[in-house]
Amino acid sequence: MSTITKILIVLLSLFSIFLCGMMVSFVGSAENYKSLYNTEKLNSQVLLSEAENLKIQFKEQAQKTSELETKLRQELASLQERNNQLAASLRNAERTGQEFESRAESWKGVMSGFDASVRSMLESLKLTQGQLEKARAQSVEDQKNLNQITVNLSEKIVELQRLEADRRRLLEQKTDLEKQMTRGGAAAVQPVTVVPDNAQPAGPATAASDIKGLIKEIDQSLVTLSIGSADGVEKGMVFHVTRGDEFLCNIVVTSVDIEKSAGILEMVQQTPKIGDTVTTKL
Amino acid sequence: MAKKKTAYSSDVYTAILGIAAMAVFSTLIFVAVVYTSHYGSLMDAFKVTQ
Repeated sequence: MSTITKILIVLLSLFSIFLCGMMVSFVGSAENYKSLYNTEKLNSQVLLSEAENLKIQFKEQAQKTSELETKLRQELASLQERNNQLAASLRNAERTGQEFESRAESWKGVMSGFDASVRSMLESLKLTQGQLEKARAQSVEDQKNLNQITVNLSEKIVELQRLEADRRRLLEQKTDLEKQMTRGGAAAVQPVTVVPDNAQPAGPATAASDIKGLIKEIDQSLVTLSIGSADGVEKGMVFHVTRGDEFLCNIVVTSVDIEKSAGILEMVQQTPKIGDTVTTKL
Repeated sequence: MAKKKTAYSSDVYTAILGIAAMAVFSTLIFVAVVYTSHYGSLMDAFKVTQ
């Protein structure tokens, strides 16, 4: 065997061993592409099925969305209609409010006028009350004068009655004297005829007869009595109001009806009540 | 005729060639086993799958 053959044998062996090592290392480190392909294919199928499911869900969601959109559009239309109705109601309410405001303004004017008229009436009432006080004072004065005149008149009546009694007594004495003269022979002497005087003393009817009654109603200074013209009550008569033995006031009759009469209070000592006794004589 | 006497060195080189051949052969077996385990058969690795 030649030397070159030996060298080639050694080189060939070394080279083949080197290549075999490289081949083993390459194949040992190579990946299993089939299993990777299968895995990726399976993942792709899973993803495709998921995509199909997502498409179905997307269609369902789209359908639901379209239904919800239709429903919301209907609700929007109804809300717009309601909004229009509310706007119309608001306009009506505003119009009504303006009408009421105008009415309030008119009533305010009326009330201001009424207030002014009430103020003027109060002023006139004060004037009238002043005049009434003056009239009452004048009436009290007149009543005092009337009482004085009544007293004087009573004294005159008493004097007149006394004079009448004296006249009757003198007439009786004259008649007795004439009778004595007739019995004594003086026949020629004409008997004196005495005409009886039937004249009644002039005096108020209240002084002659007593009229009694009761108070039926009281309105401030105006009093209604339970007796009228049928009982002899006349306009201008004075009644004395008593409660038991207590004098309360006087009543001057200003209006007379058949069975009732009315008058005003005077010389008020106490305020009378319904049921108090009125009489013309104390 | 006398038998030609061979040298011991030729036997050594023959052994070296045997070792190289065994390395190549074992490498081929390893590659075949590995591809068979991966693709079923050696030719399946070259199939076009659709």
